[in-house]
Amino acid sequence: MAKLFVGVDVGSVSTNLAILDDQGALLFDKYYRNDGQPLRIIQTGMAEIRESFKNSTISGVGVTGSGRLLAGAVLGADVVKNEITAHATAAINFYPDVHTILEIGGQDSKIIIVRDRVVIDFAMNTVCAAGTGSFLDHQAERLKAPIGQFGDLALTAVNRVKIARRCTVFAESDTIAKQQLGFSKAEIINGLCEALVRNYLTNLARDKVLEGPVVFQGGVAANRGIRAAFERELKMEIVVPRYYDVMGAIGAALLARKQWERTGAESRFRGFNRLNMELKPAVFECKGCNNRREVIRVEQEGIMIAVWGDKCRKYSNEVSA
Amino acid sequence: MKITFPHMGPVLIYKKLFERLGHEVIMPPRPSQRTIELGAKYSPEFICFPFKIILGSYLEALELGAEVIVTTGFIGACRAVYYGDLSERILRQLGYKVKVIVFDSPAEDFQGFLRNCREIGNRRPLPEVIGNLNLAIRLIYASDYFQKQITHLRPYELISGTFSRKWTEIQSLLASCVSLKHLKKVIKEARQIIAAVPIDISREILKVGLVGEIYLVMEGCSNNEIEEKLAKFGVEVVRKQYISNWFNHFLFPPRKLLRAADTYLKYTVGGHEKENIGYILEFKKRGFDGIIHLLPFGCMPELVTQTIIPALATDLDLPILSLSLDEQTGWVSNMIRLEAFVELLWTRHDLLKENCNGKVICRR
Repeated sequence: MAKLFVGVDVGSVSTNLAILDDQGALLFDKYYRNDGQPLRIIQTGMAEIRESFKNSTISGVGVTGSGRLLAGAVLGADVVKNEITAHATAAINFYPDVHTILEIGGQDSKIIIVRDRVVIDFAMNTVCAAGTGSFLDHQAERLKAPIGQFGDLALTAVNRVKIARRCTVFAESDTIAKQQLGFSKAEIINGLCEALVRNYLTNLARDKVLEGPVVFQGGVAANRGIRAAFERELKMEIVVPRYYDVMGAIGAALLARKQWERTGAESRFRGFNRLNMELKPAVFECKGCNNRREVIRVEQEGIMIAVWGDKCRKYSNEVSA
Repeated sequence: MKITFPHMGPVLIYKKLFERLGHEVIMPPRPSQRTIELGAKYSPEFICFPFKIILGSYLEALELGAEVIVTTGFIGACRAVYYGDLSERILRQLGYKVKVIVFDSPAEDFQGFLRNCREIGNRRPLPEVIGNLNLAIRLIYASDYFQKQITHLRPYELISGTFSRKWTEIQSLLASCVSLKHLKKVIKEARQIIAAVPIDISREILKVGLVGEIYLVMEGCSNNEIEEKLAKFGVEVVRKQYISNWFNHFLFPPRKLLRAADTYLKYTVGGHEKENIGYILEFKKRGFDGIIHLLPFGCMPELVTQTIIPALATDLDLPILSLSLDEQTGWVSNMIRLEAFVELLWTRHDLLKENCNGKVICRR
């Protein structure tokens, strides 16, 4: 029976799955938009995997992304890792000589500096979402330009329009002003791409030395307009990996495989059957002490499978594995 | 007089001191989400995060009936100097008949210092006041000593959360202390409590120095218990900011440490930025794996440190993570940063162990 390693990346906009075999070759990858229900997506995705890989066992599960805790509990993950490590692992796997990784996702963006295959520095956007995919998503909707063609449209721009980059709200009013001045849609979209890139670089790359090779990944890497804007701004060639949109999931799977190689332990994967049982999340304020912690509890078939938020571990210690 | 004070450091001991001087004490509740929200609501928007927490805990103490607030002033150019008066003004505007007693450095205003002492002394005879003060100071030193012990041992604990529970136990033990003789007995007991916690000392751990704005560094409730979180990742957190260290700092300024910081910052900006740079240099010398720097959003002195950090990190070949905190902070993204930072430190640690022939790994 073939051994499979599953990587799941539960992000703010999309949930991605990747499967590696025990040699580290990619067998399956899929990008799903969340539409507000990441758990449902995990369930359908895993059902798909069950169908396509009938004669295999799952030897390791790695999860990452902002929803990694719940996904990890539901799947019974062996590795639960932050996105920075997962993305860096995947990029280094495909491009061992990479020095800079640009990652732009739905609601956060990161820059990771790598030397000799080791992460030496990183930064993540703080309170502002101006340099991320959600902003582009929103603008695409407003401009009635499908997000899939957004980047290609930007490449057709003749003139360069400068759009305020500080903040999404100002950027939006500035695009409206520029529209009213008669600039074409393509020019405005190109302006938006450049604004996003400048925002990203000033926010995240402020005190960092960006050296090539530069790898650009995350959902926004699909946007050729952004990639071109990065190339213009950095005056360097930017590499977009073939699996740019599922790099986080690949990284998680690679980490699960690495752990399996090191320990050889059996996976904690809870099995396909238990995955489809209904989940009941509940939030309550614990009145046990003065901290008044907001505790989140997830139950499946009356059994508590995950708890977060309690400082004293009053509830965490009751979780059944 | 019903007295209250900011929630910072060994609060139970302050309570003890005031009670022994014959005051009624209203304990400020441990800052929670509600405290922060309350403080942020009545503070100027762009004031530092610690002010908001402290104002919030004043408000909570006033709700419980406090009449007098005792706090310390600050020396320097940072706006924290005015925080005592500012909080009094805000609270008065809200309709509380409150008095704020600000203890400033006796070197700056000796008369004022004496006046405050007399007020707090509650017409008790001088030897009694001094005796109580002596006991309180010794208790603070003891409390800080045990807190250091616990943060040192926490990453080795076998059952997570044991040391945190024992710490509460030790705090109340110390607070029950009535005389210097009793203190000796209590210290012995506390030692036994710590020794009884099951630990695995063979565990491999990382050492990280915690520097930054003093309130955020000292108060676990303002930094989301960063020390406990890191201990769970197998990281020992060492900080230099304790109340007892500040007594020492005040009595014997660490000239050597400050002089070492001169290379990066010649003048003081008003906060603890020179100290923080000095600590970072010292931590590097002691062979630490990394540094975490906490600053309140918009804190002027620590922003200065933050801009110096890239140069420090390059020169010392030491990873430094700077976290800016305020009431808007989402800990989800900070946890990602912490996790990734610890991951980075582990990789470095392993590489150094494999002996990279002294090759510089942290280049920016």
